[in-house]
Amino acid sequence: MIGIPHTEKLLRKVALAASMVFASLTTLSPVNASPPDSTQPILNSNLAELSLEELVGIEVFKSANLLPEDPREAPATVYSFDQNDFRRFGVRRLNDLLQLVPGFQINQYRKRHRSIWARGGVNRYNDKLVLLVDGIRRQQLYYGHFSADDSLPLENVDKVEIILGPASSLYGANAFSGLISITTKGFTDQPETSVTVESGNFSRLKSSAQYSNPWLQLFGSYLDQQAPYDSGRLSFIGGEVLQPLDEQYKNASVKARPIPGMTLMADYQEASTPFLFIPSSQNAFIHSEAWNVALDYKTGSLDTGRMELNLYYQDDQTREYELEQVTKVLGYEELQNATMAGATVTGLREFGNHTLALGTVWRMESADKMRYYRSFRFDSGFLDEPISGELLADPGISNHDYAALLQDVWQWSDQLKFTLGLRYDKFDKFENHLNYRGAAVYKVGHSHTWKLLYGTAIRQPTLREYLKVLEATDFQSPPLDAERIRSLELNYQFLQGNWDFSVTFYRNVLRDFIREVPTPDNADEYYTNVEGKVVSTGADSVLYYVISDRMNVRFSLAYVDVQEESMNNYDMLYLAPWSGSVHFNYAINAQHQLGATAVFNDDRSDDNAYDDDNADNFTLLNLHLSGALQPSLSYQIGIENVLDEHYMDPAADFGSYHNVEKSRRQYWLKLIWTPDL
Amino acid sequence: MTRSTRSICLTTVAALMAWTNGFHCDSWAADSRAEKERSIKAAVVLKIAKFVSWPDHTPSANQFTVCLYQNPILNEESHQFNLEKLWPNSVITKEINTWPEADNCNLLLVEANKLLAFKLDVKHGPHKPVLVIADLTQGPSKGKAHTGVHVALVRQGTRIAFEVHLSELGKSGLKISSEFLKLARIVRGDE
Repeated sequence: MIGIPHTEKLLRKVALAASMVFASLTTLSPVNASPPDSTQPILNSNLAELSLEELVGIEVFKSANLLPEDPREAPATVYSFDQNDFRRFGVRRLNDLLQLVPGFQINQYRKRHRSIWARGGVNRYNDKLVLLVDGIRRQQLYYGHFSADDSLPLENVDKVEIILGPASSLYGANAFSGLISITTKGFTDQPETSVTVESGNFSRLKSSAQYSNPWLQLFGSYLDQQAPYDSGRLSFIGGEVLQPLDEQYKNASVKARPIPGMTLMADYQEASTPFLFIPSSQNAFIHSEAWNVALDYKTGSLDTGRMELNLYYQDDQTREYELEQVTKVLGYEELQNATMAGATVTGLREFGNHTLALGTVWRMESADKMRYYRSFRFDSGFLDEPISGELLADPGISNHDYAALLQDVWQWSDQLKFTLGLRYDKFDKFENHLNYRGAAVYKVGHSHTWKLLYGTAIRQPTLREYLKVLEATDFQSPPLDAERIRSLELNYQFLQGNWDFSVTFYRNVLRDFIREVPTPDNADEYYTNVEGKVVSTGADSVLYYVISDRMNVRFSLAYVDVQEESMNNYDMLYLAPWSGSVHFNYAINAQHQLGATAVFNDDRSDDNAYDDDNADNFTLLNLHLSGALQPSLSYQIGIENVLDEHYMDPAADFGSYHNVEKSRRQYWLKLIWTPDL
Repeated sequence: MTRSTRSICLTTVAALMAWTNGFHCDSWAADSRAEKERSIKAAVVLKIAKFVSWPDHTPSANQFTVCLYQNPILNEESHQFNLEKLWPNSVITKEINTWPEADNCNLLLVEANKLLAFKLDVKHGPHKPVLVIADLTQGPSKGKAHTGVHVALVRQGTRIAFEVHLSELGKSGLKISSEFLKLARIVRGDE
């Protein structure tokens, strides 16, 4: 027998080689990846001198975002997806991925957007969830909405993490039903580039390019297509639609690292989309542009104290407009321009078995220009005199919110960990709030994990909800309060061999639920808090099973029951009690993989007067194939809604409008070129 | 900003500054979690290799070769460049795309997203005295044995741990110290 060369010197070289290899393995790591200095050994000499027992005692995976990166041990129900999952599931948009998260229901609206309902959190816009992109909150201020569609290209996304349940004790207002955190692609130790081209039916043509090196990351994408909907679809009043479906999305972003630990980011998004279900009397469009600049700085370690700082500034300009069908005259226009800024400073430090986090947050939101102009209405034609005015009852409103947060993660033993978090928010509007969260995570051996979670959250009404100027009525809306939620969750996870299973049971009690209702004279809609509680109970679960080297299958299943006390505990409209998905993956060989996904929802009820638009249960079937043609050239092929089924989603604004249909069959081919540089 | 609000913010910032006054400039170098992570992984590989004995007939007995399975990121030029600078003697690294190319490797590293390809590749191939270490730290450990993989780096909470597939190791002709096995979790079964 021989050993490997036995000198410590040579072994250290082995480690250096391994270090370089691991450096290459982690080149897709997010912003924290640092370039290896070729003139210095990467391996810290102190590490080389440690024993194996000492090395495995070092904390490696502590997360900077206050939650451990291992979702199994996070003090919340967490789902995490990366680029491999996007390919494995054959998804092209964040919304498509979210359909596979148990507890999420994705609902199409009559504008272009789809809304994400988490555990029964029905709302017309995505304002009960928080979207973080590289730690920075993104939203369109007027509606409080964020898009999870083609305006957010997955080609530049490294990882998506989803937290279900209230998270206001860490993330503030509107982390109400959950949180979606996106990490975009970051710096790489070696220069890397990739180019993608995608084409499909509905005249879809998308291209993207990405370049990264140790201190710079650039990304750009452009998409031009027809929105994938049937030309024979019906409008929100049940009649014909003549609206053209052309749409474009543009994205550009740059990241730079001027000094270790600091990342400067800037990005630009532009989208021109049609209003899908507008009556034939007019065509309508939405054009939005958003700029974001941000700075992120992290320094120190948990042992000696770690500080994280981020600053951001966003400029958002949205124009919705309608052209009268015959004359093409501007019939309606809305400007929803706003700026947002914020800063967060967080310190983290370990004290024995405790990891403490202390932070302070400032957030500013300002409505810059929010006005409307109207010369035409679909139900009454051209007005004698055009009217115009402010969208908000308090034009130019600017709110400053401040918060302080404290969190302790107490590792009681190897098996048991407690987390307690508090956050005090001082809002310009809607009073001040203290939110909290407590969690116990208990591991039994390697295979079983239990979590017990209790937490609170609030949702501030959006500008449109509490300041909307009502049209054609003298009715005055009542003042609004923030929505509040308390949530109790019990989670169990089993992980062994080929099985990976988790189930969460929850009970949420929501107060001051904000509902959109028609004015008494039926001239417009306004928002009001409903009396009494809204109680959601349910469960969501995922089962992943590896059948063999070549085959695996994933099931997700969720049940939700939402009852409104004010409505004699009737079930909440629009929600599917049961929802879920099945995904099957088969490796044809080492280079090519075939996948099939079925997403299903139970029947959904509505109270509109139409009989031809029932939002019945549906099962959407998607197929996809992916693989490598050459080492630097890979492909993806997909078919969504394979059977081209015609399914309806509820017009879930508590009004009486006609339901709207989901997108139709789409087939697509994508090529990804990653040349050696 | 009201006086009370300002006070809250200033107090919090002051507390943060006081709390984290243990920062050192040299902590910048180790600031990157990713860099720390790979340094520790490299050190773990170093220590694991120390516990392993290769058979006498191993072709590259006088030169230790670390191979990387199907990773296009490091090209040959960068290897040579780094080798010249950092490891002039005895240790070389190279990329391989298939298991048959591993004949001259002493140690083969496989990343998680190449694991399936590796397993399908190695399934019908001959056993070789090549220590195969898979980096499976991207997600929680499933306690699962993988065809062809001798040692898997996994997560155990916030720490690195490792799992050893003894039957695969036995087929390879490699010997591993019982001292190492005391620290590892043994996984069994073909899958």
